[in-house]
Amino acid sequence: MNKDINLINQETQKNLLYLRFRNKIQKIAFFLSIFFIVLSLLVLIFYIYSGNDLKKKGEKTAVLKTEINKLSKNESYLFTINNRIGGVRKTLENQKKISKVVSNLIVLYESGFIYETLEISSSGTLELSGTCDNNQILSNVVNQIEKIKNDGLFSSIAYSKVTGSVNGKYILTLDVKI
Amino acid sequence: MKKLSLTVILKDFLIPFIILIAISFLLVLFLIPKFNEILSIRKDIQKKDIEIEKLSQKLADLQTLSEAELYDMSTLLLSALPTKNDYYGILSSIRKSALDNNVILTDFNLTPGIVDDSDKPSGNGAVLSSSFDLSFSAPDVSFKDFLTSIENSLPLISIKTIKIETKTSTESASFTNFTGEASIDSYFLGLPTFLGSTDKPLQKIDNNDKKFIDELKNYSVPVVKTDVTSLENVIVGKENPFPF
Repeated sequence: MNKDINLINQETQKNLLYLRFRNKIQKIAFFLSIFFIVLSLLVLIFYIYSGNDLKKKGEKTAVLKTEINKLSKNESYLFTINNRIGGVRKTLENQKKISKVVSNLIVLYESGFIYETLEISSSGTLELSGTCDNNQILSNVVNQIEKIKNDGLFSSIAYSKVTGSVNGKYILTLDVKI
Repeated sequence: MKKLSLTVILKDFLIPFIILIAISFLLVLFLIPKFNEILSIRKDIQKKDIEIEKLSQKLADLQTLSEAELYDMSTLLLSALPTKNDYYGILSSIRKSALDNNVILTDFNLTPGIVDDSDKPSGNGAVLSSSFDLSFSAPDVSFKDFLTSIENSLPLISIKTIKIETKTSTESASFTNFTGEASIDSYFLGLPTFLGSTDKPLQKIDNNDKKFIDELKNYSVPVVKTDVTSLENVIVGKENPFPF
């Protein structure tokens, strides 16, 4: 029957095991220290690099801001334009252009229509009354009003009163929506 | 071979133990804070990159603009919509139109209230208006040109209501005289206090806007009150940088 005989005594074996363990620990400690020293150096280098990068970008931003400030007049003009253009546009859109309506209606006076009143209210309703000597003028008046409507100045016309008197005069009252 | 004792074990493991302690200190005191700082710096760098991109774009846009053209356009728009209610300017404008068109201004009625010289911003940027009434008389239909003139002049005004009557002096000699009463709205809009931050993108004006402003050039500007010399030294970001 074969039997292994251990020539190294137990004490020496213990010592050898201890030495191996110690060496392992020392190696781990050595590599860990190297690893962390390198890591620390890398972190430090990256930190310095990032700091410099940020500084450079900060300087570039400052230069750009200075350049923009030199052109601040252009910017304030542009800002003023954008600030006002909407308001001006809206104001003009809401303007009823009453002068245009009056100019178109006053033509009737030149063709013989004698105005009594011409009134345009804030709601955009126009009341017109006046007299004319003959049927022809009345016809011209009606045609002119129709023409103005077709030009798009009036949205609706209602002849509220057209009366003729014995002396050949006609009185016309109408409501027009601008 | 030396015998294993507690002193020997301690001696052998002292250096690795010190190294581990040193590494732990290094981690806590140096690496982790620096790593956090690096993360924060990278974030700042990213923000700066975005800011630089915006600023470069803005600068390029600003360099393409013509100062003279912008000045003309802004002055025209300020004439159309003044920063404050300029009763005197509007009345002068109306008076001039009346004189030019043989119309007599018989009366005007306005309530200016508190006249404030400061260019206060008008709240939400809405156009403010104020009304006044005026009466006029004209010997002929020339008042139509007067009305056209005031509606086509700057500052912008709107005729809200109008009543025109004819008055014949005598029945035999029928000199017709026109009298009118009109209610007029004038408009104004305060300037905003701040331009905004420098990296705020530039709000450009398009061709439609340019065309619209060109159309305004057809309006007459009877009274120009803008002081050209005060248009110097505009500073971005400072309070009320507008020179107007």
